[in-house]
Amino acid sequence: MIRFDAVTKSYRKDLPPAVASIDLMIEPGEFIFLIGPSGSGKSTFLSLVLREAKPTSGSITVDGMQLEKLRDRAVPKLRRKIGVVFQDFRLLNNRTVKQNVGFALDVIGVPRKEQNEKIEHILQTVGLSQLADRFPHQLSGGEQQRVAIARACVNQPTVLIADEPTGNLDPDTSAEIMRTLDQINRFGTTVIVATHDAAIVDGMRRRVIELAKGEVIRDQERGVYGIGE
Amino acid sequence: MNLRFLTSEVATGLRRTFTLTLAIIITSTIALTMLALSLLVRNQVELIEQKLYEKVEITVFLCAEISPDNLCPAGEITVTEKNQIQATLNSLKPLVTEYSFETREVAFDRFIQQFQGSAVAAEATADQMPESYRVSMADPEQYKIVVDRVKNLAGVEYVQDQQAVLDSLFISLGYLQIGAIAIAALMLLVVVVLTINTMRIAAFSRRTEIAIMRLVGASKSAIRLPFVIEATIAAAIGALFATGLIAAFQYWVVEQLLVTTVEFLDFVTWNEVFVSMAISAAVGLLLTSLVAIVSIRRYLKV
Repeated sequence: MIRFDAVTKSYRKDLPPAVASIDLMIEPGEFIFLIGPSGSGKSTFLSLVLREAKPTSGSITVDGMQLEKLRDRAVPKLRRKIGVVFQDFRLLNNRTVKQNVGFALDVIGVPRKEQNEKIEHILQTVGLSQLADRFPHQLSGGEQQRVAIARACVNQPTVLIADEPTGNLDPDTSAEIMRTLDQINRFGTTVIVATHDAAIVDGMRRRVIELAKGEVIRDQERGVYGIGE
Repeated sequence: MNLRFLTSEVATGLRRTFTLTLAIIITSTIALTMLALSLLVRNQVELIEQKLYEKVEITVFLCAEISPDNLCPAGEITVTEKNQIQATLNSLKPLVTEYSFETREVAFDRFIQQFQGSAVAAEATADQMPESYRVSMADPEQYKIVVDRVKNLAGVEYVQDQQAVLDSLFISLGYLQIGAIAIAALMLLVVVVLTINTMRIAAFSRRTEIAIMRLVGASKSAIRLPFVIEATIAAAIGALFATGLIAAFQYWVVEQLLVTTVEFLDFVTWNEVFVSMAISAAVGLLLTSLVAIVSIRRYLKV
């Protein structure tokens, strides 16, 4: 699904690379925690997968597309295969839950009559069917994040990237969000969660990839947050 | 991208940049009105040229008893001098197509007719009228050649050419045209600057939407299209207003006023008006959408 071959990314020549010769293989349907302190290269890793940044050297393949050779005009095609969720939700405040989710379909040209079924299905999956006509400010943080997940997944991406999805949420709500992500993963979507939240990592016991100074220092099946546990 | 979504995006965009859009509309209205006006002035000049040049003639006034000494030092014209003038005019054929001699009596009749009922007409006598040759030309634009050859001949008091009068008219119409073009150019420049600014502000005011669009894989054109449509709509409204103003000018000023009061001239018709409207509207729309496309590419890296 995602393959990194000796990938290095340097933003400036006088600084050490943000990501240094990473080799990595993520299989379809996996659930991955990407952990590491600030500046360890998590964000760079994610922007490389999204082709927001190009590798300085090495090769990246996502769902059969070789990103360093990908033309700019083909980037939208890649991004339709990847859903993204952020710490700050990034919802449109002047639109309802349903409209926020529909926005993702509108902008890629899905006809309105085909949208309803997709939106209802995804809202049901994230458990928001009852709140479809609410506006973001009428929702709790956890509910807002589930709207963001619904928006990221309504187009059935093959990969879902969540960048600190629980960073603004309390532990109970965080656990709820992780259950939602787990649900999405069970439908076959590859899920990558970049996080500092030890509790959710330890609670899920999934593959953990730990970065430090741009290098992979741990890649463990069914891992936990702290080393040596 | 489906049409309903595009429409709602454009509507939202226009609401958010309402004041700037209004500014684009007003300036393009002025710019395009001036542009159309300058085209019409040029048409009008051509019409006047066609009409009047055909009728242009040169009048060679001959020395009479009452002529001032500085112009006619030798006093009244002699028969030999008249023959000399006729010979000169004959030598200028075919540029000179024909000429006729106007006697004092004919000149007097004409004078009385022109100034009928005025005090001048009552006091005038045939003796005070000058004799003259009326000269028609094949190519009125070359009137200067004829004037130069004739004006220094003995017995000629002075040469009046209507061309000189027309020239000053054309010069002032030329200034009017240049003025209209200058205002049009200046206003179009303002339209360009406003469009660039509007695109920048529009892109900024919708940065969240744009970020989401990019992430869910909207194509570049899908992201940029609403912005370009917004600018084009503003320009189209401006063009519409300009069209209205020009139509009003043609109806109220040209047709209701000029055509009825200045009967001896032809004026621009609706045909020329429609052509100038179409040209200025096309310039407005093309310029604005082009500027919008270029600036949104600049401010909206997708």
